[in-house]
Amino acid sequence: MPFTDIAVALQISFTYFTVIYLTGLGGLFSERSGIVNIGLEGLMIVGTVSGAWGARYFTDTLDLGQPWGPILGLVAGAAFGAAFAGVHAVATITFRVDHIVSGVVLNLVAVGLARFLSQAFFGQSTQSDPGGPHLTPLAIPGLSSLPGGLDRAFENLSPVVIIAALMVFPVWYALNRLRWGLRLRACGENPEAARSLGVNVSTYRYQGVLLSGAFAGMSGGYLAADVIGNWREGQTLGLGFIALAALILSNWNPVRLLFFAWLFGFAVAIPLRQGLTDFWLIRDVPEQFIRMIPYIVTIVAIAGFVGRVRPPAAAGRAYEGAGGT
Amino acid sequence: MGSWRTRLLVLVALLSVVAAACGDDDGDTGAGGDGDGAAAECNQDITVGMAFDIGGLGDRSFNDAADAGLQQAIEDGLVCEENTETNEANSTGSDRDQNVQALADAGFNLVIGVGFAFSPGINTIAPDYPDVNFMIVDGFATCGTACGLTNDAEAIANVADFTFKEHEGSFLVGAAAALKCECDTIGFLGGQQGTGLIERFQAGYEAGAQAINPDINVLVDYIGDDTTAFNDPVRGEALSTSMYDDGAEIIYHAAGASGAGLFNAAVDADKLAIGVDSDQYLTASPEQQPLILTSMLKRVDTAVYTAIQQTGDDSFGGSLVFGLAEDGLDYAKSNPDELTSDIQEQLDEFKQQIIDGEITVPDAPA
Repeated sequence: MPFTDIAVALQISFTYFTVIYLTGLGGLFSERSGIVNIGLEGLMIVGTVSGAWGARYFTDTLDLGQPWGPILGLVAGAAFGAAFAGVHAVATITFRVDHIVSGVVLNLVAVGLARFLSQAFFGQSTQSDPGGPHLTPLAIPGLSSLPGGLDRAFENLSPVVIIAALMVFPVWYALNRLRWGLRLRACGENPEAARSLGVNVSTYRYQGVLLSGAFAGMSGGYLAADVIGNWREGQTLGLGFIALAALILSNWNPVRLLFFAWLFGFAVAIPLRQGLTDFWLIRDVPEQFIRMIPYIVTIVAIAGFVGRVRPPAAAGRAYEGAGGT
Repeated sequence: MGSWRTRLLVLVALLSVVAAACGDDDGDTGAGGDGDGAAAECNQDITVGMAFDIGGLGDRSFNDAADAGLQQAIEDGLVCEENTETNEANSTGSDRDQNVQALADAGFNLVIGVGFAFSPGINTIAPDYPDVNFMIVDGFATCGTACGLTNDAEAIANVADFTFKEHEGSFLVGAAAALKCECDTIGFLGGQQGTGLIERFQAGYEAGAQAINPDINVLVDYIGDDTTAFNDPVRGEALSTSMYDDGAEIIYHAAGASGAGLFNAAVDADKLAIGVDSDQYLTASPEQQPLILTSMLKRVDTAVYTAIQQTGDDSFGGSLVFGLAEDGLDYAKSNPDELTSDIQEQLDEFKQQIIDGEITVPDAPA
């Protein structure tokens, strides 16, 4: 058994998991509040360029060093992501633009906006200097001394991975135990009923969409600053859309999303290890098919073969009664 | 309800303006800007347009090398700075053909496509612009219908492919790897598989290593089979780590921007790596630098400079191949702590033997 290969595939999958899970949580807040957000990829793109800038600016220029520089870099990614998501919020909530149209615009504008920000931040339009600051990896007692090569899975583990995984607790609690979460969900299921009980639908939806930008932006910042070390155009590689697929498959549930985000990450990681691709059944499957797994699973699930996928009832529907304008 | 429709219209209009403004390639920032104003004398007779590929200006590699050739030509007065223009492909390269066509429409005498991916587009449009010279770095446009393209070479006499014998340069760094590590396993990380281009790097590298140690084992991995393989450092790092784990002491990459992943992996594994296209030691981070043994230098700047020169003196025509003999390739010497002078001496010997034809380097993997 290629334990080392499995361990390294796990290590790679943790990276992808973090990106997919954070972005997916973003989509979750937005969609549970009733605003479909297919602009996650665009929000991530803005997060990558601003996160890479923030990590460098706070660490080197302001000389905050570790760990505050890279952390503030992630915060910068989240802030820019939230600001950019504000466009989606204003368009869909205040002006009631079709959510899909606005989301597509978000994805398209992000590419140009990223080049613009890159010029402003780095003086060049498609990348920043390599080797930027990133958080010091953690060594977790016990896990980093596992026998049989399994310790490799937890080698160089970024603290962000742990933070992302732990995020499941506050998110679950906020959605299911807090009054705020109940109201947010009510806005996504039946905004008319929510309003009749005195809930300001627009306010909650704004919060949901801005949160989605913050999470997706932070995810982009993590990818650029922490994983790769510099900004490069196109480095999100469609992970925002994979996050969207994971979100659908998870039935908009943060606990299930935890599993699917990791599963999709692992599916990406398998073809990257020779030891695994030489192994048993996988050997006979073309690499391209393994990479298709997440998408096939998603389509099968949406088609209703596995369990029941049910989006928030009011997601995507314009809500006219808010009177917020 | 009132005027929300009006407001929506205004918003949409505003968004589209933003989209248009941002999506527009920031054109001539490369040519303009930091030039020293009025060059003493320059050739006013020709105009040059250059279309960069994915990565664009500032990639510290392929595109920047092409730009260096253009800047050198401007400095030497082969073309006036105000008569040049550049544009950059978007992150998936889907606007390559539009970018080239825009330059051709604008009537530039010489239009340069920086990268093999420009070949199909230029092959298709070249007959419509008989007065424009097209040069494609690494191109295969003149291969014609045999390569699945629209026009055969006779129909597009105004197109020239400038290619390199990457296998010759890769031979040198392969020999450098085998000389340096005195080990039995080294690695090669390729970008896009299946075009025959990156396979040339692999073939030369393997041949060079085997010239030193006939029994050496070269691990080979490719990132993917489309052009995004050149922009995926995460996969590059994963595959490199995998090869270091499997015993590779030194890894050479021909994977464009994905090579950044190799350098990250090299730092984690504390093993050596070899760069490509430009001297990547110069642009690496301080923790990566000591681990970059050398780089295979591809003189894209020479190709661009030559095309501009030829257009200026009316000798443009026909494809060119740049080998070691034409100074089209070299290896970098910026890390003498690792690439010691006795290794350099042996490499220079090999270089001379290749130029003299005593060694023929294969251009496809065995």
